[in-house]
Amino acid sequence: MKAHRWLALLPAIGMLAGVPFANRVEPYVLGLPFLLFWIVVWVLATSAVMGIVYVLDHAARRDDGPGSAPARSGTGMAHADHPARGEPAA
Amino acid sequence: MSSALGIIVGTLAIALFLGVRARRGRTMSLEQWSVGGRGFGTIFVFLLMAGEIYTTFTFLGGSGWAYGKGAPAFYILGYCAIAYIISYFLLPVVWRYAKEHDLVSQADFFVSKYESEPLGILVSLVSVVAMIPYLVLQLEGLGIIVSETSYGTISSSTAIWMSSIALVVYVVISGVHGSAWTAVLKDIMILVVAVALGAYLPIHHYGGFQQMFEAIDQARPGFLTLPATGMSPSWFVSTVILTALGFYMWPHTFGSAYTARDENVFRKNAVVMPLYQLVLLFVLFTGFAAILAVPGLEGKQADLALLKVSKATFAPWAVGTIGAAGVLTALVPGSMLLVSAATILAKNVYGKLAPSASDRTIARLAKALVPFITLVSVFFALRGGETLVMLLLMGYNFVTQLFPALVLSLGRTPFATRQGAFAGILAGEATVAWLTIGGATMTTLFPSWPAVVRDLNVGVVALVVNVVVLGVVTLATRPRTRAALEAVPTAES
Repeated sequence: MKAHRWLALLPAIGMLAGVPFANRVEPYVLGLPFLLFWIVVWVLATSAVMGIVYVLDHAARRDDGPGSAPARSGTGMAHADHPARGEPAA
Repeated sequence: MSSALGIIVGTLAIALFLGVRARRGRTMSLEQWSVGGRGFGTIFVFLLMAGEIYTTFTFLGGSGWAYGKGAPAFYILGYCAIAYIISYFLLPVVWRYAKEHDLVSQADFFVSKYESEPLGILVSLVSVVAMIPYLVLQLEGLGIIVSETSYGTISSSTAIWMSSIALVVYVVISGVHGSAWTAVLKDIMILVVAVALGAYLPIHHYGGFQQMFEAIDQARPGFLTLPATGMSPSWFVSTVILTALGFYMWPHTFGSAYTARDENVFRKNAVVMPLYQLVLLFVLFTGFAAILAVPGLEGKQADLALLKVSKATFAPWAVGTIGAAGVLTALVPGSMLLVSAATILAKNVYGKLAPSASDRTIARLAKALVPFITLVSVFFALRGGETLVMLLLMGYNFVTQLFPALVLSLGRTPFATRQGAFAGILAGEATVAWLTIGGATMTTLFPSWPAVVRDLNVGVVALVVNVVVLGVVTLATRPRTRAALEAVPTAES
């Protein structure tokens, strides 16, 4: 396990461990009651943290040598490639 | 017919037309029918996936829970984010293994890892059972939309029958091709409608977002925070974790791990998807806006909140457009679930039990199963009783039971034995069924325990039973060689 991957735990723990403490209406932030704001912030943080993990993962793989660099996909757009429903015939 | 209903029927006709058109000029083998011959382009696939995220559950159920329960509905925002974190590490490992071994279904993964066909059949049956509440939810949603937008001329049960027939016709005629084309239409409509409603209603009825929340807080103190007991922080955290674990255990989401071009796709997804699902926030806003605008919807009625507030605010044609978007959010996932369930039963259950069956027989059986599965769902939809969110949580409790056996199999040799995995899943599912049918909660099970424990999502009990049985049976059936014990796998990717 590469050390930077532990970062991924941060948004999960931050969001959930914080819930008992963030469980309040005030102060309102951006018009949202505090608990809702708290969760929205951590959803945004999830994206940011996973972005950092992604970049560090890439850097680490480049350091491993050119042979192990993963094939880069052409588009910058992220998507789950194919939500297969059921199974194709063999 | 009201103009609202007219728009909905028109949309349904367009969806059917797109489905039929998509089918023309192709011979429909089982593969064509269920995964579109794997020929869909990238953008299409992206839209399809969006189609799976935005179901009736988010549209009516999410707003209904915000209306009826308040803060506990925030869990919907939380669990997706956590599920994407898990996917970053889980899916690439699954992808690599599936690619090496040419796997095509979720059950195949278990069969291959544990070298056990019976385990594959069990996993298939579990996933079909879990899909039923999910399907029931789509039908109930359709029923609500049609009966509400008919302005009282069509009863909810008639609407459920009509919608089910439409769904079956749609699926049998077009298979997943219909889903793909309709998903394009649906995706655009739902995004526009959800964002427009969520942004407009709070301003129209309250003058702004903060004003809305302040008015709600004043009228119903404590509604915007988690209560001290019941759906407390302890419930919230356990529910978010359980549903996040189950997120990729559905056969249709698990299947997405097989067909990606490369494993990086999943990692990029984990970065982008949490942002994408923030659109759910607007659905919650709509539910909150309805609280004081259309008060008095009790219990299951809360699922009507979005449509009631729309009817109280907009002209019938606009309500019709909103309803049409809602119909599509039920039709697209509904058709996918139906195709998945039918294919799994035909191929992974019947096909394994009767290995001599030809592909043609299996394809015919899959089609024949569609109306049958729909009828079962209609039966539950008409019995009613649960809110949409409760139905989804039930389905999640079923699929989440697959998680321990899956994760423990990710290493080179599975940590659990096949008997352990089988017994663990079976025990977990039996517990879920028992808890669901008996209506048990943590409070009835552990009345004298502290509130922190009593408020936990009852699915935790099933997961604990699952893991304990898995562990005990694994220890009892594990080969007694030192080498096997030392080959303890890690989930390192």
